[in-house]
Amino acid sequence: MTIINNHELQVSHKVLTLLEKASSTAERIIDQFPGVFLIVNERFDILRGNFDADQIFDCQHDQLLRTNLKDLFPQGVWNLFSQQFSFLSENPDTKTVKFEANFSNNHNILAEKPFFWQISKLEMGTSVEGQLYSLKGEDISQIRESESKLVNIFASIPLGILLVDASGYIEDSYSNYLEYLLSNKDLEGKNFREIIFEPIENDLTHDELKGLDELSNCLNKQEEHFHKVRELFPTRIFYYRENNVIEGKHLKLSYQPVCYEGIVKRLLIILEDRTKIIITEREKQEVSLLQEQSRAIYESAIRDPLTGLYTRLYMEEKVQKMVENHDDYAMRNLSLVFFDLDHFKQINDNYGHDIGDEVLRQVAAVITYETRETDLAVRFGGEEFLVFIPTDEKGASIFAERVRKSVGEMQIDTDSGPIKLTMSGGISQHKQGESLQDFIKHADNALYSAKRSGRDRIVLISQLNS
Amino acid sequence: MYDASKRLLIKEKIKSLVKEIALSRARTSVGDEVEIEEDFTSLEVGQVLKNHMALIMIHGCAFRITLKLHFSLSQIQQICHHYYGLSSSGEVTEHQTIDFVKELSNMIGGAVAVVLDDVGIDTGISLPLCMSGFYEVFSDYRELDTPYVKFNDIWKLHTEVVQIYGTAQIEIRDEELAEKLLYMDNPSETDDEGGIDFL
Repeated sequence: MTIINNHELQVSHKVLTLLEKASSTAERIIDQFPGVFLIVNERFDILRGNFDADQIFDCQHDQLLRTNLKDLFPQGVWNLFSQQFSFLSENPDTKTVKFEANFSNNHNILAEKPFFWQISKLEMGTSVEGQLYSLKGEDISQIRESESKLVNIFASIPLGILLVDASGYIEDSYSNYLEYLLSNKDLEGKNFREIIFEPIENDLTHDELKGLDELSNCLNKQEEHFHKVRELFPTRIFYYRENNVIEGKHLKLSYQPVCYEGIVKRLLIILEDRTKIIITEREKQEVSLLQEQSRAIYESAIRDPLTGLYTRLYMEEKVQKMVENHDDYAMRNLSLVFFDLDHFKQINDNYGHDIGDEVLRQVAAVITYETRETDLAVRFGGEEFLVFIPTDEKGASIFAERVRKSVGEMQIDTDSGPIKLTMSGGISQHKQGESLQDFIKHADNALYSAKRSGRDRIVLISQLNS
Repeated sequence: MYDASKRLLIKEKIKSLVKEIALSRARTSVGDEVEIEEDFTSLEVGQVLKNHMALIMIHGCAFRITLKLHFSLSQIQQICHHYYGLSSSGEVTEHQTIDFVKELSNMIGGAVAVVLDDVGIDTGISLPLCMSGFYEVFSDYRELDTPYVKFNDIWKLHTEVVQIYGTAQIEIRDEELAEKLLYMDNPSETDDEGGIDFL
């Protein structure tokens, strides 16, 4: 027996151990491959399998070896595999084939799952096993599930989505809603312009028709051109077929180019049904108009058209509320100033009603200017004005004097020269329980006293009583 | 031209020697219940026969023998725990299982080398090696009579629970030297019944 040097033996042992480890590591990586990974010979005997394959084909790892591949599949699935192997065998230049085949593991007890398979020729072969093939199988049921969810979402969203090819024909439609929108089935393969625009071509404006031509011309051209002319494309149309306007729909269209190397090869057209929105908007506009009209009618009823002050009609409703608030102590004080322009009849007689009206307008403007939001100014009749103020008679007196003074400083220009005005006023402070009529009557009494005392003054009812 | 009948005798003798030693050493390691089976119709040398393979080479001027023991880990695990003093197969590690078969191949290779040495055929053995996967892809099992003689043998060592396939690729490098084998005594009489000696 040849005696080998001890060092050489040790080195050889070390090298072999390293090789063995390297081989073992590589094999473990194959063991852990996800999905099915098999090596089969040309008779389809399995020479190698990974751990996932044991699970998927429901057998022990040792059992898998030299099991024939066709014994793992139902006959129908195996026929498909057999065709693929034959194709590979008959086409020396083809190295790989990929295909989908559903497969149920656990001997068809469980439901079938979609698998994506890839068979590749291996470069190495043996004289005994012959040509070797690797076979990879991936469970794509989750991908299919997600895909199915997406398709369902697409199909159910209230949008129509069309993919138009470079020749202007509908390549794909992604929504069931689209058929409803366009009242048209079997859209694929038809010209998009004929389907969407032809039924309403007579309704399109000249610009919209021009935009439509531009849209057709964009296909197979540079993407830049698309962006340059996209504003011309018709984006809002009223779509109906065969004169059935009642069932027509307001559609909003948007266009998205699908480019390949900068050339528009497809168009994604999204149709949004805005019929309900537009009908709702119109209804809203009608309601708004009605509200405005009602408001105008109401305003004309409560506002004096000459002076813009409130009318007696409004006063009775509003002041009654103020009186009640005062009765309930919700309002601390409530006073009334009863104004009356002095000698207004003479102005009408001497200068005419137009000047008389102008006088009333300007006096009302002074009163409006001097009142606060909480005050209520009313044209009571003719040249009489009432102002209800939530204050005591002293506060009301200050206000009334300010108005009287402003009116006294006013100058109304007429053809016969300027007119000087004076105004008298009576003030009463409301007492809890006092009626509106009595409240006004007390202020009227104070006014009467102011008139009798020579006019152009303010008199408080409390002064009279004392 | 070498005598064809003599060549046939040498071929049968060396094949028989390897088989007999393999059976003898397997019985030593596993137990007397080990049997050997030689007639296969569906399997042949060069095929991947199990998930793992232990490999050893017996090499000298007259012969080069590549001996492979094809085995599965799960089966070997069931029979080797006694050798490690363990109470159940579940306690045997994968590494120990592989070592067990490597050592079996080492014992077979060593015994073949000793027998050849005894008849004057100087021979050495390699260290045993274990591989897994589709390990046979690099082998060339074509049988030859020229320019040198190359042939194969396949057999199966088995008990009720375990099968180990053995394949031997044998090359006769010097037929006149190999002829010495024809004059040897019965190998079983010269066997070294030594125990297991782990690497």
